[in-house]
Amino acid sequence: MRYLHDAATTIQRHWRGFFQRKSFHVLLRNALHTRNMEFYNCKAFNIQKIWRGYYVRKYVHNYYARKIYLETLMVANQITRIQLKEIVGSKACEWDRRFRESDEQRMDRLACRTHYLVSTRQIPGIYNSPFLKEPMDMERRLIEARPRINAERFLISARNSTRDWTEMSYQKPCSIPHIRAKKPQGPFLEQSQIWRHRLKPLEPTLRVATSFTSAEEAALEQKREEWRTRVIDDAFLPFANHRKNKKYEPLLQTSCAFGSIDYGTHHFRDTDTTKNISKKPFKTITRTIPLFEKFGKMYC
Amino acid sequence: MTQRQLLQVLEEYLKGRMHFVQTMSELASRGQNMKMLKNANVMALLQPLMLDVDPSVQQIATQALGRLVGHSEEMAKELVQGEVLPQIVNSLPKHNNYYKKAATLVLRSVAKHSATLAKAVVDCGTLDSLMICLDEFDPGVKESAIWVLCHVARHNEDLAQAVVDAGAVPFLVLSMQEPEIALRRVAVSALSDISKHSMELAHIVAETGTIAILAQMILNPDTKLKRQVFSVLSQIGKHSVDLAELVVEAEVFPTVFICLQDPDEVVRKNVAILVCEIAKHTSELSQLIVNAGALPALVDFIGENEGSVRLPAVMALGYIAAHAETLATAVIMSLGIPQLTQVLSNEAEENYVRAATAWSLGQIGGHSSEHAVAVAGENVLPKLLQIYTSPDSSDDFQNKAKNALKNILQKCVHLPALEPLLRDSPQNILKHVVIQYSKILLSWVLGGLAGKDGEIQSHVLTSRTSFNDKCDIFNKEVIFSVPPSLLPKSPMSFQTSLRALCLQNSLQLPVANPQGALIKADAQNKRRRGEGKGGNRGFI
Repeated sequence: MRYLHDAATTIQRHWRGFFQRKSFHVLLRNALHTRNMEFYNCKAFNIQKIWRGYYVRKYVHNYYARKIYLETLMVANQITRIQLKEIVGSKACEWDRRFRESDEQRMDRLACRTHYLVSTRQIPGIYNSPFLKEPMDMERRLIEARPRINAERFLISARNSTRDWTEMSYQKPCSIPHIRAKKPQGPFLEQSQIWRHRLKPLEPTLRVATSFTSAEEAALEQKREEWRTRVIDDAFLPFANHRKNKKYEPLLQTSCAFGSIDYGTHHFRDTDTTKNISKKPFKTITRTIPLFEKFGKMYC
Repeated sequence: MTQRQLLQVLEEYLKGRMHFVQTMSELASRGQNMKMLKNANVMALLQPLMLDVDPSVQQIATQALGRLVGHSEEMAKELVQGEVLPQIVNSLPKHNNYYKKAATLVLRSVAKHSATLAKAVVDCGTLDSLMICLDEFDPGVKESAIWVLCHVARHNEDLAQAVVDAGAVPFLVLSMQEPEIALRRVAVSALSDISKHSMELAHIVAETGTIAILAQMILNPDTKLKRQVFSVLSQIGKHSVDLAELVVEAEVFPTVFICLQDPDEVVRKNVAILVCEIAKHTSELSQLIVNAGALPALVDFIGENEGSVRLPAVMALGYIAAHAETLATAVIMSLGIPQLTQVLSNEAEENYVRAATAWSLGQIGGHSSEHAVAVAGENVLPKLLQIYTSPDSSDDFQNKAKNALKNILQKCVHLPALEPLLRDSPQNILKHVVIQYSKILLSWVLGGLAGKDGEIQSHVLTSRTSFNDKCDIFNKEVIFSVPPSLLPKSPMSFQTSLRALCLQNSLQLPVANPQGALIKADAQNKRRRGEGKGGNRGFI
């Protein structure tokens, strides 16, 4: 029995060995494969680690770029400061000038309104104190103040106004009532009418409005028009009467060797002044009748 | 009665009416006469005169009514209830320019009081008549019409949408380019009122090429125009990133800083608001602005101005610093912090400006330890603490100060800055301070700096003794954070004193696994020192 067991064990032993030796190759190959993969993975990790470090340091959190950026930013800030100062300096001059101008205008207007405070020879005004060496600036303004007309003020304010346009529409210029108790005698026209006439803008007559060279300009224009619309430049002469259509021969009196003379076209006067009574040439004395141009525009 | 007598009577009547409406018009232009006029029930008298036969009486009556209504809201409501508005609106296109101006004055005065009245005006079909007015040549008529649109669109989004739907925006853009200054001002302010409500409206305004035109008007010498221009730009830029980018692309940025020093206060404030709104959106936009040189301009602006004018500039700095760490460093390097601390301490009236400053400082200091050190260097932290603890600061202010403190403290490891905070801070702040101390302690203990231990010890002692029971948790944290590591050079006094403290506070020492802890400490030390040291391993 033991012999059979031993034999069986031997067979099994040999068979197991044989069988396992076949799959041993596979096992060996797998183990080799895993060992290789681990090795490569380690190396790959290394490469990836180095690459990630490099990439982040160069592109994502570049320390030196940031440093340079901050330094250049500081320099740029300084430059900006200086530039701003310059520009604002020049603007400040302008703003200053505008303030001072508006101030000056205000003072001038005040002087206009309070012109009665000017000092006379008898009575020195309030701006001309005897204790001061020279009179104050306001005194000069008072002396230089000139009266302003009501309607002018109205027109000036209309030009410069930033007020609501609706306030402009139907307001009459405010008229100060007369100091005299009695009304002045006579049928006078209304103040507003007079001022409207006086301050009316210029409406030139047709004679004034047309330029001196209007006739020549019109002729030139006509010529240009004709030249523009003309298609064929050579004059077309009909064949039938071509012998009759000869070139125009001008008068002997109005032509000379070098073309036509002025007489007959520009003037009909005699150019020979020897037979005249006086030495001077003729000149125009009368002019056109301008009466009709004044119609409806003058109030007299 | 003969013909002539009849005519005479009629003429007298006409003169009477003219006199009446003219005097009413003059009286109504002054505010103090309002009560008198209301009591005399002048409105009821003027209303029928608006439909008078004579056109001049009509026009002056409308003007007088417009002025009356402009001064008080009740009269406006009366007018709306009297149903006169539809008649005015219908007759608007038919009459001459003077009437148009007077009628638009009435509409404007009604619409300016409240949203309901404006809605009533719109419901009468005003917008179509106004479009006809906008077609006129006379700039005065155009100006009054645009003014009505301005007042209507101001109140809420629906009304603004109604104005846009009527096709007003192209007209407004054209009017902006007219030579008359008053017309330009009103057109720009109308655009500003339309675009302030929502993103779609701002988009509609921006897409008609308006921004380029507005950018050219920046350096115009007229003050009121500049105010409106900057206000439009900031309203457009505030809604979304794309719109802000559009504004920036119009190359406004370096030129805008010139106007930060304009003599007029409102212009300066509007410019600062523009910068703030644009910096708010993304870090790229803030970067763009900073590259254009915003920081010196803003810092100088804060230094030179007072009060609520500097609020937007302070907030702009805060937003810029909040986006990115580099920008916060840039703010620090542009000497922003001394200015901000000056605002914090000197600003007397406006507490919300100080609150904004506290917030900005928190944003700057919260990025890293260097930032926190820079912020803490100007003695800012005690000031913030004082604001937080003082009873008369508003809730909002206290909140902001607390958040700022927290932000800065979480990154601050600078001892002289933390020191003054140990004394009087309330509990939640003290927690952070103590945590920071523990971090410092850790680094020092590991580095083996013996000399300073005595100082820390005394400070830590004082802080501990002031809060006995409630600080148990905090103390534990600290103790855990000081590892059971090697202390070869530290004096025994340190260890004994700390041990005494723990006993004093009757703490449970973490004796659960002393061996494990020792081994862990060993391993730690070996890794750190690379050598094994014998001797007394102090376990605290």
